[in-house]
Amino acid sequence: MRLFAAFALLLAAEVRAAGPPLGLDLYMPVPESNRLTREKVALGRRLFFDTRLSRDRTLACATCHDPKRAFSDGRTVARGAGGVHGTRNSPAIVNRGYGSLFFWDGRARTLEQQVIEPILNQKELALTQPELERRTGLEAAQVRSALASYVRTIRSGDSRFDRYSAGQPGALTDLEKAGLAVFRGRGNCWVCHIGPGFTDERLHNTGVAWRDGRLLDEGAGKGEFKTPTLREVARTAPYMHDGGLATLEDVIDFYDGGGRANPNLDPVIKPLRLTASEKTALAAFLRALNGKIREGSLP
Amino acid sequence: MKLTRSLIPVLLLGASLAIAQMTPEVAFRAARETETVKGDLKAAIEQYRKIAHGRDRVLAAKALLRIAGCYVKLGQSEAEAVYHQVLRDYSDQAESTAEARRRLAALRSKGPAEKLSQRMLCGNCGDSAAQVSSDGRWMAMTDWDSGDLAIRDMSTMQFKRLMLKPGGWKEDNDGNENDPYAEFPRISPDGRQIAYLWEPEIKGRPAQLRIVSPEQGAKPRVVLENPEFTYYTPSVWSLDGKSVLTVFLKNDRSWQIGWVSASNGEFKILKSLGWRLRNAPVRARLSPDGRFIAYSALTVNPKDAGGPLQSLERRIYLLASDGSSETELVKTAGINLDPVWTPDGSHILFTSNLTGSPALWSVKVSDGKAVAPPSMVSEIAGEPLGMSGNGTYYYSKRQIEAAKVSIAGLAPGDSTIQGQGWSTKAGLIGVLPSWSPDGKLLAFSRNRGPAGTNQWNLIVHSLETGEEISYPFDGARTSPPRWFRDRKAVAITANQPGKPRTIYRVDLDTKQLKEILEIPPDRYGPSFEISHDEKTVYVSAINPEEQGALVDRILAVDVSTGKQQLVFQAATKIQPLHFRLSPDGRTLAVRRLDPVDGRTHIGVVSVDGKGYRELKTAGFVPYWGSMAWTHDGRGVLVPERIKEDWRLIRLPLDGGAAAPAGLQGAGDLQGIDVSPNGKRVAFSSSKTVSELWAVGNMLSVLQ
Repeated sequence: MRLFAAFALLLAAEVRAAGPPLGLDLYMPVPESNRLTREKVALGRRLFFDTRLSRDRTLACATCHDPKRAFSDGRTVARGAGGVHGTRNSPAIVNRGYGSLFFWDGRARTLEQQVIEPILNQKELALTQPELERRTGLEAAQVRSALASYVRTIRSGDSRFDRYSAGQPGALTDLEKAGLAVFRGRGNCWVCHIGPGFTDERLHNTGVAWRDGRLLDEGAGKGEFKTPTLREVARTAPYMHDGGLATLEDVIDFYDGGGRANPNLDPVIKPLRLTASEKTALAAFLRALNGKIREGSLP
Repeated sequence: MKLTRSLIPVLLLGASLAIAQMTPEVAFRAARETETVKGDLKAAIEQYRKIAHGRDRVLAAKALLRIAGCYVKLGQSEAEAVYHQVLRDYSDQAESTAEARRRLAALRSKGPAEKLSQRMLCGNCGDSAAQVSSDGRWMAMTDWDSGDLAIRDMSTMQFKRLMLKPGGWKEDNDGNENDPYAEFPRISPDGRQIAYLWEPEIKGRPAQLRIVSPEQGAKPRVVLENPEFTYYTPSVWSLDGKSVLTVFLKNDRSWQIGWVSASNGEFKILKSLGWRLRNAPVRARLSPDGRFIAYSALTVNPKDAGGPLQSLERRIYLLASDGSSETELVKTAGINLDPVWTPDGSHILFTSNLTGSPALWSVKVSDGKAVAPPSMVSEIAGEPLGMSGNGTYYYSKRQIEAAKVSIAGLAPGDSTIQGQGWSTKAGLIGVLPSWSPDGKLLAFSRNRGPAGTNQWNLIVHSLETGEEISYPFDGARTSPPRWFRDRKAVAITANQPGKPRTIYRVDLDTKQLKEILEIPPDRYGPSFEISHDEKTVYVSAINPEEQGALVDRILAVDVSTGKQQLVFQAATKIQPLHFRLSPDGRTLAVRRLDPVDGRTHIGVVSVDGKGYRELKTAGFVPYWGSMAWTHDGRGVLVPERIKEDWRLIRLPLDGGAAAPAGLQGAGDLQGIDVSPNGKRVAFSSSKTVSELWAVGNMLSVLQ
C-alpha cells in the first residue's frame, strides 16, 4: 500500500513536472473530440514505434521520425515500404501539437487528419485501412486519436536560446547573440520563423521547387511549401522539402542569394547580401536552437 | 494664508467682471471649454445659464440645449424640463427646437437597458489604462501631465502623484534619453501593491515591470526587465497576489500572455498570439474565481507585424488560467473587444460592433463557456476600466472635437504667437488652412462625408464677409490647398470618379477643375507645391525601383512637358515626407520621418536640388502638421508634440537654436500657414478629451 502511495506520488510529481519545456506555451490546442489521456498517449506511443503499421512490417512512424534525430530521418527524401522512394524530406515533428497546418504542402489542418495518411499512403507505410484495423485490433479512428495524442506530447524546448529569453544573458555566446541579431535584422528570418515554434504555419514560395525554369513540385500550388520549425534544426539535416540542401550553411547561402527566382517567388524573399561573419553568426545561433525533447508525457 | 483668503473674493469679482464683459459668443465658447475640456459640468451649467438669460435668443436656446446635455451626462432628470423650456420659450428658433424635440423623443423611447443610471465622474480624467479599486473608492492611473503614477479619489476626484518621477516631462525629446513614464497600474487584491509598466530613461533599455506600494514616495522595485520584451501590459493580479497576468510584446512585435511572479519576476507563457493583438487594447481579465482569462484577439493572425490585416474581425476568448484549455466565447463576426467580468463571474461585458456601430454587449458564462447568445446591453461605447465589487461599471470615453481653423497674431520680427490667445472664427471647421495671396480668404479642407466616412471638400472662406463657398470635391486632407498668384484659383489634390489621385486647378468662380498632374498613390505622395511661375509642380514620390517602397523623394515636374527632375532623395525609405516652398520660391523646407533612427528630420534644400542641410532632428513631430515659412524666409515654423500637448517651434535657417513660438495648449496642430503680410498665422487643431463615466445599475439589466 505504502509502495503504491509512493508510486502515485511519483506519478503525480511526474505529471506536474511534465509541463512544457522552457520556451513553449503552457496552452496547447487539443480538440474537444480527442482530449489527451494517459491511455491514449501510451497507445499512440506504442503504435508510433510499431512496424506492423507498414505493409512489409519493416517500417514504423519512428523510422522516418526517429527520436534520435529529433524525429526526422537524416535522408534526403523518405523511403517507404518495399524501399519505395518518396519525393519529400521527412520533417522533424517536434511541437506539432501547436501547429495548424500539416505536411509540407499544408493539406491537413489537424493532427488527427495528418497522422493516418502516411500509414495508408502507398509510397509510405502502404497499409490499407482494413489491414491496419486487422493488425492492430483497433478502429482506424482509434489509431488516429492515439497517434495524434502521442505526437502532441513530442515537444522540444529548453534550448540555450530559451534560457537566454528567460533572462539568462550568458546562455548564448556573443557569436550566437550576433546571429540572433542577424536572424531578426538583416537576415529577415523572423518574418516566417516566428513564435515559440519558429514557424508562421504558413505557405511560402522560396523557389526551392524550381529548377532550370521548371516547377518540379507544385506543393500547395505554384511551388508553395509550409515553413518548417527551426527547433532542433542542427539535428535535422538535410533541409527543405526536397532535402536538397545538405547543411545549415547551404540554407543560409540559398536565402542570402534571394531564394530561387520564379514567377511566384514570395515577396519577402530577397537577396540578403550577408557578410561571411554574419553567416557564421547566424549558423551559430541556429545551432543554439537545439534543446531538450520530451515525449510521451501529458502536457 | 490669510492674505490668500482675503484675495479670493477680489479674484472672483474680477473673474465675474471679466465674464460679464465677454461677448455672448466668447462666453458661450468659454462655457463649452468648461464643459468639454475641463469637464466641470456644474460650472459649465452656471456659465450657460448666464447666456440663457441674455438677449441673444439664438445663443440662449443653444445654451439651454447644452445645459440639458450636461444634465444627461450628470445622470440628472432635469434634462427633460430644460428641453420643454426650449420648446415653450424659443419656438422662433427652429434649429434648436427641432434638436430639443429629437432629444426628448430619444429620452422617452429608451428601453430598460438604456435606462442605466450612468453619470460622468469627470470630463477629462478618463484613462483606458487605469484601474478602479475593487471597493470603488480610488483609481490607479497615469498622470499624463508628468508621466507619474497617480491615485484618484473617486468621491472627490482629487488625485495625488506617487512621485515615482520628480517634475514633469522634459522640454525637449532630443538626445539619447527617453522621458520615463508609468502606465497600466494594476492593484493587488489586498490593495497594498500596484504593478505597472515603467518605460525607463535610457534609450534602448527595455521596459520594466515594477511593483510599488500606493503611497506617496514609496520605493518601487523592478520585477522584470528582459531584453527579449519591448513592452509589458500588466493586466491583473492572481487572486493569491503572488503573480501578475501580463501581456508581453516581444522584440519581433508578437504578443504573448503569461504570468509573472511578483516575488522574483520568473514568467510562464500561457499562450503565444503572434500578431493577433494588433490594433486594439491588449488587456486580459481574470474571472472572479481565478479560473479563466478573458481576452480579445484577431481571428486571423496577420501576415506580419505591420502590414494590412486580412480581417478586422476579433473574438472574445476564455483561456484557462493554467493554460489547460481555451474556448471561443464570442464567435459572432464583428469587432468584439475589451471583455470585463461581472463581480459574480456570471457575465462578461464587451464592446462590439455587431449591429454596425460600437455598443456594450454581454454574454452569460458558466464553467468557461457561453451559456446564452450575446445580447446588447446599451449603446454605451467606451473603453472599460472594469467593475468594482458592488457592480459599478466604469468606462472611459474619448471625445474628439471637430478640427477647427484658428487665427492668431504674430509678433513682428521673431514670428512668435502674440499674446496668450487665439481666435476661432465661428464656422471655421476644417483642417489645413492656406491664406490667399491678398490675405482676405482662407482655403481649407472640411470633412463633409456622413458620420464615419471621409469626403474632404475644399472650403474658401472670406475673412471680411464671413461668406463661405464649398467645392464638393473629395480632396485628400494630407496636403493643404495652394493658391495661384492671381487669387482666382487654388490647386488641390482630389479623387475624382474613374481617375487616379490628381492635382487639379480649381477655378473659384466656375468651380471647374483643370488637371495639372496625376499623382496615383502607388507612385506619389500627397504633398505638393507650385512654383511661383506656375510652370513646375514639386511633388513627393515613391522609390520606383523597389516594390512596396515608401515616399522617399521630391520631384520637380514640368507641367507642360511632364519632365521630372530629382530635387531631394532621402538616404532611407521614409514615410511620411512633407515640404513647403519658401516665400521667395527658391527653397524647400523638408520634413521627413526616418524609420531607421525613428526620428523626424527637418532640413532645407534649394529647388534645384542643391545644398540640402539639416536644421533639426527631433524625437517626434506630428505626421500631418504642415510647416510654414516665416514671413522673412529666415526660419520655419513647425508644430511639435510635447507628450500630450503641442506647440509651435521656430527653426532659424542660420543654424540658431530652435525656439518655442507659442500655441501650446491649442490642441493637436494639424496645419499652419503664415499670412502674406506676416502678421497672422492660421492653423487647424483639434482637442481630445477623455471622460470618465460610471454605471451604477449594470447588473440589474444583464440577462
